[in-house]
Amino acid sequence: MKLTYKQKNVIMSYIAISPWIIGAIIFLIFPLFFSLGLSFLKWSFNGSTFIGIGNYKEALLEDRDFWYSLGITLGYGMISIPFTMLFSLVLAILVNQKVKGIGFFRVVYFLPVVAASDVVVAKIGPEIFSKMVNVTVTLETFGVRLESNIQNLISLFSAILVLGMWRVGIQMLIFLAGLQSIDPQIYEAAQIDGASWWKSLWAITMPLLAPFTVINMVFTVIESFTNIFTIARVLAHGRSITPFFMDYVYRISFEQYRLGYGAAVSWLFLGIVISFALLTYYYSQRYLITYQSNK
Amino acid sequence: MRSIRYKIRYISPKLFLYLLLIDGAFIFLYPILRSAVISIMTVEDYMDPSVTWIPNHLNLRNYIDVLKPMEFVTSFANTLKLTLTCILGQVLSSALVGYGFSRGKFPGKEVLMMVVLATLVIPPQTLMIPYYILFHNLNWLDTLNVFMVPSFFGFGIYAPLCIFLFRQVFNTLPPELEDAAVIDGASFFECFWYIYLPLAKSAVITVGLFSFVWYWNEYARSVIFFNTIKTLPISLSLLFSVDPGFIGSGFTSMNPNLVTYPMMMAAVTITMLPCLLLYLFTQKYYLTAIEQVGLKG
Repeated sequence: MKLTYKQKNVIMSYIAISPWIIGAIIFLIFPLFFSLGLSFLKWSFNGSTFIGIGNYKEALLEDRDFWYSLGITLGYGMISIPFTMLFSLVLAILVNQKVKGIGFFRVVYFLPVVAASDVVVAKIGPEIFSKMVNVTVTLETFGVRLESNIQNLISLFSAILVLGMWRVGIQMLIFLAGLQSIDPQIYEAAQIDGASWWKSLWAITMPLLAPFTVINMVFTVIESFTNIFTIARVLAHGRSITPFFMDYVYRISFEQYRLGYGAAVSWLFLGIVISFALLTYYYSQRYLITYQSNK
Repeated sequence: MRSIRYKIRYISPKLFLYLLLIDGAFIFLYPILRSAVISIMTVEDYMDPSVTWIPNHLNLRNYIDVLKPMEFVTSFANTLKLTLTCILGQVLSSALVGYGFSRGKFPGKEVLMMVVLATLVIPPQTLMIPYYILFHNLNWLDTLNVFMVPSFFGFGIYAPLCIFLFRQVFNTLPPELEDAAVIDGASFFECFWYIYLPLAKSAVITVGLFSFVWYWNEYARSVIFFNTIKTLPISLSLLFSVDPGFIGSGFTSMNPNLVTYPMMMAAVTITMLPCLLLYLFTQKYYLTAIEQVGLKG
């Protein structure tokens, strides 16, 4: 049988993406289903019993630590996302100015993304903060439950927020790409009509930047819910005492060896993160469509 | 009179802008400069409150002294080996998969691409327990396979972004090149290897450079999967060797007692240096990566 050019292309492109498909089976689908299966079990070293949705029920209805760490993690996200977005937008506007030597400033502002790993950040961090707060001590007194006061919460959040914002370069570059995609003639026209800088920021820049804002939002949601905790972890000298959700899961799975329960709560968290990302995407798309149809 | 007004209107905003920019640059550089400066101080200088930026004695011994507790030779070699292999895997696999997604015309292409990107949302810690069990059963714990094998199968660090980047770059290349080559008898993969991949050189460089930084700085997985000196990467060595309070799995034999604070900063500087140098010489590729993706897809 002779294959047509089109059929050949289909087969060949499946072969081309086959590494990813094989990878997905081994490193994505299997682990996901494994942990899903695990989440319905009461797991122990000498045999597991099937308890259905018992783990989920326990987490949602009885476990105060679950709600506590979830609240802290989501609360941190709620605070850090607007700050990160605003800061990166301001930086992008700054480095979008057409003045001499602006390339140098772009290089410098992006530098921490490259140079400062989680470990490096957490090693340098205390040095910068030593005059403000001792983050590690805060983390220690903070502990697993909110037994200390709101002051500790504020200092912990602000410390991690500042350390996280130090590496805001990617978001800055996304906004910068957006700013550069805007036709300068629009600004010139606005200027002729007598619009101030501030006015054209709100009437031209912000609406035209919207698609880039969406991508930035989704990226920042993922970043602040999942990745930020490694900094906290290293700041706590590697001990799983931070109030963030990932450490809660770690304590359950690797210290109390309740693997089934750990899998259940991480699935709950996975669901929350995905719905947050989808909601962000959905609402901003709707906003985009409304905006574009009004145009 | 006129010249003063001119100055106020045209020069002072610029001056203000430069002040802002320099301020920002100082904030971003301060931690790095600070650790570099502390790393050449003696302990006395560090304790002395009158010394902030310029140490009384230049003390380069910190760098030599910290090499031993860091197990520098081993960890540097480990990280270099891991990083270079994984870059190779990441570039090859994401270029090939990205090519399939760009040039292929198979059913379900768009949906599958969305799935690839959606995997970014999964918190890595959700998969940690199954990964641990998987790698344990494959006997991969404490080997570099933990990172190398996934990178060759399109599951390296941030691999979805790399695949997407390659797809976008291949999409911008004219499809007529393929048609012409096919008429001359080239196969699908010959088109990829001899025509499109050389044209996507900038994407290869970008993915390679970013992967270098990601793998060099990797921490979250290695801290769980690596327990012996044999595979100790430099980011972990930085933690275990210089932090007496650090609780970790298998590296308690390392002796951090003799490490002073300036020595620790020397270790931080050594760890940062390769990425920093690479970035300074190739910053163009880092800064234009977003434009290459071209976000509209």
